[in-house]
Amino acid sequence: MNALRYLGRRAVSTVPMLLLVGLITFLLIHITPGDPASVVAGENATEEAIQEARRRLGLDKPFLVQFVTWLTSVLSGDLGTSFTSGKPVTELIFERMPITLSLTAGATLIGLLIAIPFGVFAATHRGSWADRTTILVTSMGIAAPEFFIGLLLVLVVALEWGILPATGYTPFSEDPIEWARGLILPSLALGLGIAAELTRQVRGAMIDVLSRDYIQTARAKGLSLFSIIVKHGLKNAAIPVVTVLGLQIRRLLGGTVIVEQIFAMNGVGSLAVRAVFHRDLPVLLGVALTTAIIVLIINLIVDLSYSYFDPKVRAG
Amino acid sequence: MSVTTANTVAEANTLPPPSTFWKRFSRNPTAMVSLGILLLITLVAIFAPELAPHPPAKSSLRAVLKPPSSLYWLGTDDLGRDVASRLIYASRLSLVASVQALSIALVIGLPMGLVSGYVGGWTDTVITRINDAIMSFPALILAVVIVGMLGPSLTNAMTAIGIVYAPRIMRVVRGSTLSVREEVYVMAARATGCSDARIIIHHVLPNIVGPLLVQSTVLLGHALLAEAGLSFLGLGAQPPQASWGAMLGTAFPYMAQSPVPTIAAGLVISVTVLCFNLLGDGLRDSVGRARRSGE
Amino acid sequence: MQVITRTLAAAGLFATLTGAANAQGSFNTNGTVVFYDAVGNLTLDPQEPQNNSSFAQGMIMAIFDALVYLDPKGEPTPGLAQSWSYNADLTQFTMQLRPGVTFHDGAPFNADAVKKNFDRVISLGARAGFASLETMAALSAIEVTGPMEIRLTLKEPNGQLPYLLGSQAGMMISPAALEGNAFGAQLKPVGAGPYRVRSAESNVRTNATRYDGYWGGTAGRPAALEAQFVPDGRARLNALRSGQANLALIDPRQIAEAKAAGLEVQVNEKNSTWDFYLNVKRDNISNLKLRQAMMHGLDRAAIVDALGFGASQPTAQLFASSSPMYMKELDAIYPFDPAKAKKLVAEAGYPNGVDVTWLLLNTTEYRTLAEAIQAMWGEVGIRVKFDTVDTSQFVQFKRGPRGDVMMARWGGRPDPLQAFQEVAGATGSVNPGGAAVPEIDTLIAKARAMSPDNPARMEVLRQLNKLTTEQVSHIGIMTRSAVYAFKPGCITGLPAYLPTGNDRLNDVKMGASCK
Repeated sequence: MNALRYLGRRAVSTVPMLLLVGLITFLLIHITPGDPASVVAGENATEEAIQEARRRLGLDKPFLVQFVTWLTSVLSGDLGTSFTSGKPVTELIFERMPITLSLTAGATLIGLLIAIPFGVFAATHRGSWADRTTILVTSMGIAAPEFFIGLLLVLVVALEWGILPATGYTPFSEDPIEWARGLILPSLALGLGIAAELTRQVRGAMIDVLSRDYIQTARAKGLSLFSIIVKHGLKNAAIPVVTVLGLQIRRLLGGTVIVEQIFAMNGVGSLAVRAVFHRDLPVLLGVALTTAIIVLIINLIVDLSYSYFDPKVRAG
Repeated sequence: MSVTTANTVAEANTLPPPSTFWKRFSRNPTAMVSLGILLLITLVAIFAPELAPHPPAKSSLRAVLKPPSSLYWLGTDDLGRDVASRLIYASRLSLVASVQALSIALVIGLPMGLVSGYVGGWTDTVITRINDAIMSFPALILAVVIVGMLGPSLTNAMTAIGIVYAPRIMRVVRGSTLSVREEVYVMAARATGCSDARIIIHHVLPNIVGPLLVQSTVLLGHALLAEAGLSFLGLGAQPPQASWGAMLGTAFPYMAQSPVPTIAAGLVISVTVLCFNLLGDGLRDSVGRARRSGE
Repeated sequence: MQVITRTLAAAGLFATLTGAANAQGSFNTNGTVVFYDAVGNLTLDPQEPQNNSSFAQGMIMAIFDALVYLDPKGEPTPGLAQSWSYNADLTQFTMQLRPGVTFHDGAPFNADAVKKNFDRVISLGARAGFASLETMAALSAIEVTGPMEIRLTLKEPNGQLPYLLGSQAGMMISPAALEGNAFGAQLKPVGAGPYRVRSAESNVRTNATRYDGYWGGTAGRPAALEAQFVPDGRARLNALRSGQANLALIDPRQIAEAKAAGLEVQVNEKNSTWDFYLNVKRDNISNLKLRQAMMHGLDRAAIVDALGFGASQPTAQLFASSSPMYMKELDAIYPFDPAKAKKLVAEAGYPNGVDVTWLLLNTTEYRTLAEAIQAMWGEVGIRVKFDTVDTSQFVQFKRGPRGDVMMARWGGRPDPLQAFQEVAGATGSVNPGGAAVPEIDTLIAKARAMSPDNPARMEVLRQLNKLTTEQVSHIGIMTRSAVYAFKPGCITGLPAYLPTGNDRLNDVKMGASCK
């Protein structure tokens, strides 16, 4: 019952955030210089045609009315229509979501696959050269732009060795193996960036956990380090790691913009970039809103997962 | 809070005397090396005209995509321009751009953080919530959207990045302001009628310098990275301007034939950002023990 | 009635050779040709202004047959109209329509359908693309004079109709799809061509399956044709190498790389050029001396050497040297002379140099060329500032109007007069500022009223060419070719199609061994 109430409370507190995010997105429309109406009106448009476009876009109504209208349509899933293609923005984003999500999931997976072993190893061999190397390498990993890593990967693995594709995306439904193969390099490019940060977190959290009393007791009792790590260490270290993961989702979603460009993938990130050159405002705003909502939801899930990892939270 | 603890907190929160600070800092080899490299890069940027072997915009259309040689240390790009010279000149643009972005972040974030932390109450809640909301947007996506509104150019890209990173400044400033506000001597000062402005200037500001310095250094690195990203996408520096990111963007399509320009630009960016990060870490350690970072 | 006599023999011969090679082998009629292109279609409406660009017409031509079929040399031949004739003074144009043709939705093709198509275009008014606008503007009446016969009455004598009806204005759409004057994204792309649309994603991909009810037969065509817009040249080549695509348009600079990867490279020399469109209403551009300075400041030979990769030749005109319209002496009017250019800039009233905004389309090829020219012009005091937009936004140059100049690929038209009309004429599709001098429009009107058989017409066109070059209505840079790559022996039936920038995909066939 407590868990449900906690879930409820957290969910409810997300709502004002969502509204604020929506308001900010909506406000962005109004800082745009230039007149969106004339873009839509067409070649040789007369003044009446532009006015008609303005009316259709709702730009002639008072601000609050516009916001409420916009909010209602957003809540019903309508993010507006693309200026250039005339297609609903929601549809455009939806079509490309699988690509971006595959990429993000792949990057998270790689991040964890690297972070957990390395972080645990560094924590259990604290002070050794291996530990110090890990710290240094992770520092560098945080600094290197993910696109640089991506570029290097393309250069070496795809172009020189030719073992993995340099561009493109195959849908899972079409060919699962090609889908996976095509995702390896981009996920690496994106994932290495967060792997560094994650490794640090895992290392720090494990060091912290391993120094706790109950761990010392367990060791004194003769339990193997390995089973201690798995049974107690990971679960307790999970909280800060999951927190960081939640924070890194933002970085991942941002990073997809560039990685998609390097690997010529048609995801949400490249949709946004092309929209800039189209001056397609509805698409840009739709992407911003969608990604912010995803971030908020992920953070909500992260918060809720605390109650799984740490029973003390549930009781509170 | 007892007086003794308040004093300890006050002591730990203010910037240590320069000698202590420097002593701590100079014992940190990574931080020193990073500072050294950054100073070197700054010098290169300042003395670009003297250092660059060729004019950066001079294009020799009959020498495109040449590999490194004694004439062209890093080879030429797709328009026959010397890559090394362009990198040297581009350092100016990249560094200045990062500083611009940081300035905008400071101009927005500093007052917001001060007000939020000092005034507290509803104002604090509202500002913090807005801050959190802005931080919900992935940084690069928000920057892309803002550039989309304003049009692709380096200035607009920097404005976008400044706006995107302002919340981090705000958090650091707010945090430090809050911790000062609770202190006995500040409460005493307010009780005895000192004006808020005086309190802010004499007590709050000195307190936030430390963490702000650390955060600013780290943000310079982030801003550089973000500018590189935006310029790589073609949304930042527009030709004939070239920042490191823009060079990376134009070299990339030709990577198969001529990888050196791409690698060079990428390396330069990575090293510089790394130095900013390590310097930030070093500053953080040197500034004090009871540190609360804004992140 | 030839306007482009000497077809690029290379292209013709090449096509014959490849055709002959496959005459014995059978074709793969079950496969899909996946074509990675450098342009996309915002919508599949032939009247969409963006589809007025002759680079966007590959799929459009495969889906919609037109009344007149322009052969690869640009000669009007029977299409959906079997025959046609003018009256004596070129004010009436009558067409006999081809019987037994059905649209993809089964509707019959007849004179009523043609009239409905024309009515829709007229109803679109200013929203339609330039070519269609021009065509409809010339008509005063459309009469159905028989179930398969239609007569057009013209406002003035106009000899261009066979050419005009060979492109978008003449593309026939099923009457059912035209209900409510549907336009753009709302229009269901139902045509009578050899391929019917299965799915279309705006500016991303169009997938069409072979229409087995095509009046011309299916003749070895593959089961489906898919065109994908992939702006990145690397990505197109890589997709070809990995098998994601079996045909790709590549950048000339990739020719060496493609060959090294074992691919077959086909260079289709086109009647197409890289060209600057100018807005002569702008303060700076309106000045003839400045325009002349721009011409003198351009080192075409260097650009061709460095960025042509063997697929280009210098030209200041709208025509390739293989076109009968090409006049060698015109390229010599404003040779490369930076000193003179600098002087002219000062004389134009800009002693400290002048700023020029350039609407730049966002692909690697464009950007490289643009930066090179920016540097050249910078040396003579012309400071270029870029306004970068997506390639589909080229319409902004006229629509905005936006930018002082725009460099773009001029795709070529079947009738050279059309080139002058679109680029230099007052109502030109890429001409926001009007004609540089009124005489240009006079000459255009004069040529339009002449029958293409009239030898005097060519003389008028030559005058036009001379005038537009002297007055710098536009600035030609170099010719271009369409360069394709594919796995050896995989693709045939893609000859150089001179009337448009795109080559026709209608007759592309897959080799039997191709997947």
